[in-house]
Amino acid sequence: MSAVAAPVAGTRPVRGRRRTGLGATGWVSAAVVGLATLVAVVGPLVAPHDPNQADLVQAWIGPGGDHLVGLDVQGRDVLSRILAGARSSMLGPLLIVVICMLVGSLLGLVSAWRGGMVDAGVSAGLDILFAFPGVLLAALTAAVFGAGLWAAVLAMAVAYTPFVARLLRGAMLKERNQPYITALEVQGLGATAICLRHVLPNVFPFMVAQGSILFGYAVLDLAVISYLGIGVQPPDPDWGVMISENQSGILLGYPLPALCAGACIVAVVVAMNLLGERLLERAGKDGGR
Amino acid sequence: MNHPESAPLLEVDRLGLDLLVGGVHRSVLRDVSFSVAQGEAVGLVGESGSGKSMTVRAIDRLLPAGARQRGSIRFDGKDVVSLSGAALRSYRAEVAVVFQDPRVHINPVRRVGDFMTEVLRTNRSVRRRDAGARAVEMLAKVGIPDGERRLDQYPHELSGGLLQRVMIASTLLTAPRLLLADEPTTALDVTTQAEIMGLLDELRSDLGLSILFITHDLDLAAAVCDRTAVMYAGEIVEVRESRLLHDDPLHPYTAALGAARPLLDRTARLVAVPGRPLSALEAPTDGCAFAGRCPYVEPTCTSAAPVLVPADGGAARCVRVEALRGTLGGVPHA
Amino acid sequence: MPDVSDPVLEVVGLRKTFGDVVAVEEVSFAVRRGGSLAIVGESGSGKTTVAKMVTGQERPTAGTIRACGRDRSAPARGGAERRLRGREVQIVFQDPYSSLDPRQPVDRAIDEVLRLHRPDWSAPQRAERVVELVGMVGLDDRQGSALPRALSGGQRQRVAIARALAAEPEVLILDESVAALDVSIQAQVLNLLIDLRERLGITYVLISHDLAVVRQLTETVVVMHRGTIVERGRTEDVLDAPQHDYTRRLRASVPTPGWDLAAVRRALHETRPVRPLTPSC
Repeated sequence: MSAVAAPVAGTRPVRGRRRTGLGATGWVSAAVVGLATLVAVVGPLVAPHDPNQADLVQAWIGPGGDHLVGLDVQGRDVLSRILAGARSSMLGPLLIVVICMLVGSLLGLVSAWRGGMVDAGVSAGLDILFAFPGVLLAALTAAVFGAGLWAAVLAMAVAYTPFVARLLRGAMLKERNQPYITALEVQGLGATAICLRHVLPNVFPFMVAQGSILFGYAVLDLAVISYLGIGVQPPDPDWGVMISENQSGILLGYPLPALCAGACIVAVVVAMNLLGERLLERAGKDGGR
Repeated sequence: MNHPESAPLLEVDRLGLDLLVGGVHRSVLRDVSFSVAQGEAVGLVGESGSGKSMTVRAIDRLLPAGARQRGSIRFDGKDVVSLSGAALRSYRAEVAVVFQDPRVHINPVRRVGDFMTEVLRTNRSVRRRDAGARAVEMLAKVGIPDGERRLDQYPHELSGGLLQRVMIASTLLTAPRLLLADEPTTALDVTTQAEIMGLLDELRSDLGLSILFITHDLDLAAAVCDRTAVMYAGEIVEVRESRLLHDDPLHPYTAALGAARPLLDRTARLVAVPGRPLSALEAPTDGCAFAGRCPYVEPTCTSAAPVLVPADGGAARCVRVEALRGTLGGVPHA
Repeated sequence: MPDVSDPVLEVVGLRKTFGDVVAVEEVSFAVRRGGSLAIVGESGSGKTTVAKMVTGQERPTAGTIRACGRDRSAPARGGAERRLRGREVQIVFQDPYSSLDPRQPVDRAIDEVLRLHRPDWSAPQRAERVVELVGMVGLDDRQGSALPRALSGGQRQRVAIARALAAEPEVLILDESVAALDVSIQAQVLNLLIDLRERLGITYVLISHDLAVVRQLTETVVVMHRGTIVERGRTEDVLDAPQHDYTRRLRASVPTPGWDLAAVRRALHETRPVRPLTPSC
């Protein structure tokens, strides 16, 4: 191994910028999201009461005894319903985000890589989908498949996909135009390998960040759909359903059950958004160019 | 050429600068002193991270938030650091900046005329028609005879070289006395660079403009500047008459810069100093910043920070300046 | 038609149009095996478009490109053909910051190329070759396993060179490969490139606007202006005694010690007061 050039003396690698942390806001947000996820997984198991056990005589009873946050419009334990409701309230948005990201990254990748007619065709298709409001789509799917979590998830996934695909197309096009991608093409590496090994991993942090923000929106939209009665069906516990069921309590002077569910939604939405913004910032810096 | 008898127009004295980097103040300029006389062109040469651009920003008061400054910058005898409000605006009218890439410093959706006359119309209440006439006059001065037509054009309709001339003409509108030219030709083609350099030189001789010319190219600086200061890691390491820097440098770094450039008229192996240029943030505080790459390094070089020693009509920041005098000149291309 | 014996790269009658704009017209040149050619020009001269057509990033509107005796004017059909072309011509770009995958350590980037072109090699064989390539471009083992962001611009450019050499190409296109580097780093990389050519017998095609770099690195040169070749010859002949008007202007525009700015100023006022507006302006 005869080296032509001796290793460059006197140089040491430049210390790269240290990976930016999430900051206090980011960590608090991450903690909230983590807690919500934990509750979604184990919530129904640790619920102190059966979330569906109604007792109309005990309706609107405030906190006390073994009902920490009181009882709701039908005399069900609010805490248990919050804990049990976390599952559908978190799982729905997760599914929406995963579906959108899978479909969106595929469409974005194909558009960015092929360009030309393919790009124009995909764009036109997405534009048409864009024209349908998510809630309208949800009403349509509910009418066709019957109301429920799955119909709502499907509708929202379809509604969000154009947005996600367009975002990811932009990010992937930027990556595709980097000289290192051209260098790999000149090497003779195939398009699929370049996309899977280089483009996707480099866009992934951006996808996670966007997914986090999207998750927040999805929580909100699903809650709205459940509130409207075309999402999760009562008596199944769900935060959106809980607001809808207990809204009369706000006028009657028993706002706690509706507020509890609302607070959970707000906490998750805000935390997801803040976390997403911090991740986005970090993804931007991480490019490190 | 040199005007030692007149008081300098710009005087930078022991300028030091700390910037906030990751919440901590880090030193990016240390002990930077130089002056520019009326009608004089001074070069500021350095590689990336040398601090040359930060020096310009300090002079034009364009420092980022949290910057801490030491030493003084005086323009026409007045302290610049304390200026604010209207005084700062009138100072900036007298000290014009020409940037590297004209394209990013001009609003792409506004006509050239609007861009050029804006300052006159808003800050000096000159009427639109008069401002336009002044702009045409200045365009003629920078070698653009059909100014009327140019004022109605958009930036994307002009080539890079033409746009840079427009930028220079627009700075002339406020009748500046000092031009801070921050790599004004780096983004331009070679032939365009020559035109812009010729123009700058002409403005200096015709209008008596002082120029501080920032570049990474020692030869380019030598072409227009009477004196040139070479910066390394946030310090001036040598300041001399420009033509001497190439033929008879006093500092090993200046010699290395001169020897590193390939020549146009013959081929010879380049003398490449090892390592990479240190940025000011990485420079040691207790020794010479160039010591790690210097072929003439001695133990004394790393034991104390060298000071700028007057020598041969200029100054060099090297403890071995006397010992090395005359030996660094025109380092042979081995 | 250029007459070169044993050409490793041969370009004949190359033309490229983008819509109505003719970017490259009637460009022909050839480089002998182990030789070095510079394509000199300013922005808009078409030199980068020529490089892109040679590497296959752009498809010529007309004309032929042959490397190692095989035509590459049309896009490659299939992976084997793509890889074969990868072993003929490689490229090193200008910007050291965007020409490496930010998530891939140096050794893995080189290993990826080896896996592509040497599928029969074992992992230890490849690892040995990676170490050899990293050493060849003057990096140490620690730098060889670092992520690009831990390396300086000059070091990254060395990595890009090592990655290009991993395929053992016949022709290496240097697309302004030293233009973005600091002067002292540029000298190191230029010396490295000269040494590598001496040792490997590789052919260089340098795309550059910098006449001094051209002189340092190449034997022959073609000068491009507005899409066509205006002058060609041995590098020293063209630079010492330029024949074409444009080459002379280019030559006179290079700042050197003792640059005659007065002459430049005269030229400014007499011959070309204003650049004529070209379609690209």
